[in-house]
Amino acid sequence: MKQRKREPEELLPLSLSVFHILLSLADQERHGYGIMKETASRTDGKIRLGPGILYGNIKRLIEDGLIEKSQERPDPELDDERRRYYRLTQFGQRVMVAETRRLANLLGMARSKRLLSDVKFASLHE
Amino acid sequence: MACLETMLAGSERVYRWLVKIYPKKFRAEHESEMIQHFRHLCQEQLADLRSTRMIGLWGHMFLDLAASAAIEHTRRRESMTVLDRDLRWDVRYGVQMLFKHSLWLLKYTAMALTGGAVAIVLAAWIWSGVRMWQKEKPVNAAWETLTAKSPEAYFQATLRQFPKSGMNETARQLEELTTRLGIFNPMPNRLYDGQRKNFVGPFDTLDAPTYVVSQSRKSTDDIEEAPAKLQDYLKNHRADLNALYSLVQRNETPRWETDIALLSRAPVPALFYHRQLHGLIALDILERTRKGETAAAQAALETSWKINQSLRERPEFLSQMVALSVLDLQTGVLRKMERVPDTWQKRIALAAWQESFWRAMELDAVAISREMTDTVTPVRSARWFDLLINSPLGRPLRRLAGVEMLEVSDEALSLIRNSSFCALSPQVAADRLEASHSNWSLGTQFAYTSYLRAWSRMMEAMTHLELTARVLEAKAARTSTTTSDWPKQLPQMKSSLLCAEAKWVHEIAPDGTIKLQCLNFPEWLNKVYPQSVPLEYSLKSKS
Repeated sequence: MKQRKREPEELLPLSLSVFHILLSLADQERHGYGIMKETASRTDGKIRLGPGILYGNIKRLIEDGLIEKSQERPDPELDDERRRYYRLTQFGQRVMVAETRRLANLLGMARSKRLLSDVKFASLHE
Repeated sequence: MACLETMLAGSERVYRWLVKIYPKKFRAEHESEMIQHFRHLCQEQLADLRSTRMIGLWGHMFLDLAASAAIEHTRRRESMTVLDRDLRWDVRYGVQMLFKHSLWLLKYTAMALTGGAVAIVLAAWIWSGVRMWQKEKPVNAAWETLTAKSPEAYFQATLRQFPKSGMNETARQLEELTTRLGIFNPMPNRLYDGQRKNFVGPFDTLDAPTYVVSQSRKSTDDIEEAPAKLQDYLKNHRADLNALYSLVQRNETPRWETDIALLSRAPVPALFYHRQLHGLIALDILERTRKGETAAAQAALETSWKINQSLRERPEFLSQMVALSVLDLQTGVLRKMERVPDTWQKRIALAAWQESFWRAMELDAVAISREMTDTVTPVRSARWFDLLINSPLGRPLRRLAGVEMLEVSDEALSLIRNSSFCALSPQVAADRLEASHSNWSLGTQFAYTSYLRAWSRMMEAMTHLELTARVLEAKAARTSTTTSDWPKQLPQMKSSLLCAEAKWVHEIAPDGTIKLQCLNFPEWLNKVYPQSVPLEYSLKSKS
């Protein structure tokens, strides 16, 4: 039986953890610890993904087809070859685009209601 | 680095155990990744060398474990809406789910309590590990400043200086003879005097110490006649006593087993045996001196000195303490002898006794610290916490206790070596050290109080030596005069070698009696030993 083609919007909104995981994988493949490090660095340590939450999310994202395990193994001289790398699927990229659009729309609505001062708004783009 | 690796391995072991709370399927897929992830996090925190960072990490790990494990278990059983599916990755949602399902709540409450207990033990483990790692180097460096060797090098050098050895033939024959004399027999083993339990030998029943100690501490040359039972004893055992003197004088110094590598379980000569043996010889010396048999008294004193030398030359602290208590007896009877060879002035030199005592205290400090730090050998204190302290979780605590004991011992010994100790009461010094150190380990308190108390005991023995030296000088000066009077000036009579502030004075009474007295002696010493510190002595005129 042919599986129904899912639309990215069905998975929205993404939870904060999921959004940051997908964001970490948007530009390159990473292993779990790399995702955690990149998220912590990007958010100035405000979001720290513990191993339980991180790998639970990764498991779900793989099941939902948003990310997949990378078949390419790292150069053993550069990295631990036992590490498992993850990358965004095309569907995952579409979900991220949809989520980013949704957030941008929300932001636009907030701006139209003048909820954000110029200073605060500027700081969001820094 | 070894500590760091131990902490890392220990934390990983605990995490590996905690991860088992996730469903099997989840573990099969992600367990190794999670453990590897946790290892990296630990390495990051330990690189900072701050115990609070590790405690923070563990706090985060417990929250992460509790929330995500709850989610994984509920996810397995529930069919959820899309919104639920998203929400379940939220930590708050995980906690709400716990309350929604009471059985799960019960299970996770139990898990949280267990986790809390584990966290406390783990926090103590991490705290002691990090603290130990931070302290070890500076403590070793301080020790090196004191002794010019690292603790390990110091111990190894002492091992080479005092290799394992057995009892020699003189000691064996001596114990046979003393058994015949009714003195407590330390054979077959001679670990301290614990084996003396309920043993009352024939010599015990005579109450010789009361007479011997009272006579030896008298501040005059007068010797009262010994009680009849003691005189009878000497008469009945004369042959064995003479055989004992002959044995010791004609053979090498008696030596007992030495094996300092055994640390606190190392054999030491029995305390009570030596006290009794030297008490008997002192009794004989007093009787001989009273009767004017100077040569025989000197021969007996030579024997006592040679046997006690065997203790003094041993490396352990306990042997030095026993040797000191025997020294009090020896100097007490030595002062009463009319003439002694000049060699005695050298034998009772303060510096040599102080040096051997310092060395023994240093070895003791290193050995005790080593015993605590060596986690391979179990501590046997017969207390309920043996199980914990000897378990892998107790190891960092033991190692830290060992390092802190050495740290405090180093401070106490530096104080003893570098201070004008006459001006500093051991109690004041102990209070000062107590105020500057945590007493979480009983061992640290033991370390400074035992050495400071031992040092005040040493000071007491040194006053005996100094008084004896002054008395011998006075007697030698009188011997050199042609008249029966005391010379007006006595050599070296002004200053005290022990305390710079104290000084010796003498006064000749109209009846020709000379009184030697030490002034300005530290008050604390008189307070600690009001009855036993001898600071004056009266000698009658020749005529």
